[in-house]
Amino acid sequence: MSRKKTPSEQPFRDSPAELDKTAYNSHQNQELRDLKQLIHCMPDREPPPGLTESILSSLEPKSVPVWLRFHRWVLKPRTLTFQPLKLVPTAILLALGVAMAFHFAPWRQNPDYTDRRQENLIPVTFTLTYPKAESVCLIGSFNQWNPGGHEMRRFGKRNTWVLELRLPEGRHEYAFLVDGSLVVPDQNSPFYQSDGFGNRNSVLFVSSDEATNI
Amino acid sequence: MDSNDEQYCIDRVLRGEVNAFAALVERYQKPIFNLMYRISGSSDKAADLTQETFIRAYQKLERFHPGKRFFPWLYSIGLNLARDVARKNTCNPETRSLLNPESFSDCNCPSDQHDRMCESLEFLRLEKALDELPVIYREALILRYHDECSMGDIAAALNLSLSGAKMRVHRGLDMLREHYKGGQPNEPQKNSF
Repeated sequence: MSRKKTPSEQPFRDSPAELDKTAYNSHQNQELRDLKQLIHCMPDREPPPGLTESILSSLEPKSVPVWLRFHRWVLKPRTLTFQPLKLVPTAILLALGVAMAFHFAPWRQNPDYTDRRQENLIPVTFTLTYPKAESVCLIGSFNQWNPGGHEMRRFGKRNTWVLELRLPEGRHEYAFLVDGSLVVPDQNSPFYQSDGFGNRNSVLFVSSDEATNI
Repeated sequence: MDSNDEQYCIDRVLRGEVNAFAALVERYQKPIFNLMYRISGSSDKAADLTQETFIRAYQKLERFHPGKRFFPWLYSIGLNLARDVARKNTCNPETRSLLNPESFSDCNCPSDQHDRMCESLEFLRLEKALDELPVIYREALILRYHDECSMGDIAAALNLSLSGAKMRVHRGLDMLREHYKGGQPNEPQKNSF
């Protein structure tokens, strides 16, 4: 088992040549320090008296254009100081301002903007004929199987229920929720997918080629 | 006088107040005068060149970038002026010496007479060694160790990059050591830019 040697126990490794070099470097460093100190203390010559007055007497008042003054004003660096405590109300006001700006933002009010967002959506009409139904809702992967807001309208006297939606391109699963409890797949759909609970969901493939009616 | 005070003076000058320039002249006339004295070797010429430096600075004051330090900018104007004068006037500078009792007024060294004599001789040796350096090395050393400028200010005053300024100071110190010891330096160029 080895023990780490203390500095006093370690063998002296520097050769005489290395010692000379170290001493030489130390001597050089001392010389440089002395020179720096000497330059620091080097006496200055005093300018002749009246030099300031002589300079000022040969100067004419300046007339700087406004644009140049503005340019300099813009370039001038400035320092801002603030107290964090005083910054809190400002931060709250700023956050409120941002929230209100977002709430009343033009793109939230402008129908054109909504239309633009819906340009890529494909119109799809869902229909179900179910004579004894009191209410029918459409549920599917596009509304997270949530019937709220997707109630179908009764159309005519043949108990046909209709709902028009705009859906993005791709594969969607859906079903009809009759009277709030009975899940009915679309009988006209050519594709079905088991929901894992014993029911079948209809499968719809939406493409931008043409409007799809189910 | 800090940068804000300088900027305040400059703003006043640009609004037409000539007398506001006096504060800048008072603050910086000594280092500029000493620069010109090292270049010209004559008090009269140094005074003229100092005056010319401040007049040029006044004329160009609109071009001074707000937020920068005034002294390096002024120093670079002085150095350019000295360069122009040195080109026109190829004769050797007059013999000069800083060994003037009046010139030790600012030195905080011991006041004992014997010590002052020794110091004077040391300063003479230093002056001679500095005089043998190329101007840009000499001024880099004086700006760094006498005027206590930052490397950034030295770079601005000498129109160098930051690394160039560091190199001039480092190399200048080595060259000065060689000259001061009386050895043969690598680049003995008296008063060359």
